[in-house]
Amino acid sequence: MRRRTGLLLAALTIAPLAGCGSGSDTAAGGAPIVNWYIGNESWLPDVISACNAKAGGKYELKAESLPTNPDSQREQLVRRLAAKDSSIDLIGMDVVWTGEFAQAGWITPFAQGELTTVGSADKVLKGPFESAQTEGKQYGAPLNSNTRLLWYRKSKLGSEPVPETWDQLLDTAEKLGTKIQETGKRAESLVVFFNALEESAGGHIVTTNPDGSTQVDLPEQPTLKALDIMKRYASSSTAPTALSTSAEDDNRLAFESADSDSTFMVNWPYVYPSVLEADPELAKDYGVAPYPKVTPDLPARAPLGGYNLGIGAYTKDRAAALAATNCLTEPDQQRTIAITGGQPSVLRELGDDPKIKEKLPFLPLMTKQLEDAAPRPVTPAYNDISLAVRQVLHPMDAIDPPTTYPALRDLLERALKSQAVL
Amino acid sequence: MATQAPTGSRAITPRSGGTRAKGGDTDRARAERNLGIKLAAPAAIIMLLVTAYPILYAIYLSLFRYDLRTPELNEFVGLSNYVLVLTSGVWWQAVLSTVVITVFSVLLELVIGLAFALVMHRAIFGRRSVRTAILIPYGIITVIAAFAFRFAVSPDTGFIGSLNPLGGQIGSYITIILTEVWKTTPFMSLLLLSGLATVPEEMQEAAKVDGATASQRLFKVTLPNMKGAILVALLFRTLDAFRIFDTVYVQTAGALKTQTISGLGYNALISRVNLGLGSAISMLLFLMIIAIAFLFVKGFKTNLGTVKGAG
Repeated sequence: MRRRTGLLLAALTIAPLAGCGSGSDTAAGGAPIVNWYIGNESWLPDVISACNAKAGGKYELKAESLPTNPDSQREQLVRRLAAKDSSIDLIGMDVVWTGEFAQAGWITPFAQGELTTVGSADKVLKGPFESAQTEGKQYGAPLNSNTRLLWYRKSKLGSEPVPETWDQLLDTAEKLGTKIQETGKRAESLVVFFNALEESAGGHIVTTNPDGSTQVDLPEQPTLKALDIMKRYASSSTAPTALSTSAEDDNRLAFESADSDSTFMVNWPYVYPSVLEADPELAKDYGVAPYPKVTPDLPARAPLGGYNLGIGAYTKDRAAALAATNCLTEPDQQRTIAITGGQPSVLRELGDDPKIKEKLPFLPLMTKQLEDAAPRPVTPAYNDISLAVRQVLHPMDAIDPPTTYPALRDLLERALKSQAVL
Repeated sequence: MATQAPTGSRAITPRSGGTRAKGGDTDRARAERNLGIKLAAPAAIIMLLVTAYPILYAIYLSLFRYDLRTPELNEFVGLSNYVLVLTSGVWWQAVLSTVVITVFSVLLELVIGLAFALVMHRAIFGRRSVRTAILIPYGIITVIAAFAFRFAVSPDTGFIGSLNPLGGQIGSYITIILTEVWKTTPFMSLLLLSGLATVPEEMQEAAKVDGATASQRLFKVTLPNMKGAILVALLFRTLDAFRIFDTVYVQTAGALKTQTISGLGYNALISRVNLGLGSAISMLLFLMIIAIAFLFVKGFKTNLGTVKGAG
């Protein structure tokens, strides 16, 4: 009796494991399954079925949905990759994770010629292409890109000129007595904001030395100017009441409402497809302009977002994952992503694509902006850098440039060595 | 963090055993003591096995630079992780906010919990319904309670959203503390109710005959006689509140100086996979928890053995 119970227990324990082992590798038809870990995006089903149809049984792409919040997405991936999870074949990485994942050895680089569409600098826009490179190798296959633009309500702006710099933007909004919607929550979006201001002012948060090591840059004048703009905005009448807790979508909702008190908003392009669907009449009132400059004589370096595809280092079938990567980055799929999700393609050849322009009329503007967009620092300690920036710069109205500057420098220096308590 | 859950009870067990040994040594007492040890031993041994290993491993990790993102740089660094933590302003800010949240939430819970306990104890009709109603919040998962309060106070969904409490520091603290109080007061009142039940009714009668007012009876008769139960309730809640994580994570994610010690540990261990630094933070939290338990038992000058005897 006792022995039988033991056997039964053993069988019960092993059975699910065995099922797991064989089930996850091949599909019913014998094709190897490529597990794609990515946040839930509206265009996922379309591109996946397109690629599976093209694959003709060579692989079967399957999405493994990650949480909606990018910080939680990264946490889940990091935890699994650190434990050498072999079920992760393909990863949809936010552009900023590429450096961290590459240097930790969690993704493998693409060899010369492996990537058919997005492997060379002459085909891919400069900003997205650079975000995929680490230490002279390409670790990410740029899938789509993203950048923030300045949105305004034509009816509220009236005869005022469209602002080109942050100072003009603040002056105009103050003059009109209306608000500017921008993120202020203690989240990655705050780092996006600060990095764009710092880069537009001519500085960098982190620079890479020729030997591949990194150090904190933050030149004094540009950093003080960037902090000054954040401070001025947050303590002015143009800041929304809930600035310190608002994220991109809060901004979108506040701007989209018919009785909105905001003339301006700085946000990703998805706000346009959103308003088209919610209120096509209101969409006609939406104006769009390039991301504001910090100083009139330096070009604006707008934030860069989007996905890079990375192949998990512990995958059992790299060839299948590579084939899927090449299919997903083809122009057809990139066009689907742009039209369904409002996220621009990374390919130069689609920079003026008529089909995408039908849905996103401001496509040429974005393409131009993406050429010299500001990538966020590429370092294995990126997450530490990001947490440190949030720690010091939130809430924005408490920024005091002369004292915030040394505090930020000090914490970032420790964060870069991954020795800061955050 | 999870490994620390049993520490509170582990800190108590040897104490109660020790104090009992000093008591009267009749044969019967000795036999009872032996039986007690035999009955408790299996649980104690299993607990040691499942908690001792993770704790020892955390101590070991805390002496290394151990970052999963840069495995080639991992090395023995002695106590320098502890130095890094203890010299950091962010750490002391987290200690301060943890203490603020703990003190205010536990005090409020004690006062409201005692009132609830008295209501449950004295309820004449509908006693069961009263108890059920009071206990409902305790049956709700903390994360859900935290979200419910967040939605209640956020500008887009909340009925008091126009105040936007989570946009300011004081408002954030109030929201976090109220969520904690709402969620765990029932637990406090349940522990206090068991203490109330041990106060002999004759004492109340005697005090009444001597002309004591209701408040005199509460402060001179009831409360002193349930000191043990109050100690247990306060100790449990303080140890729990000191490790607060989910409410803060959901409501402010540590913004506006509300970051707690557990939150720092989470950032280091889970988000940054810096196991060395994170283990040092966890060990320091562990030591603080032990210190709190020790101070409580000393400060109340009561021993838990008599609590058990009375209950």
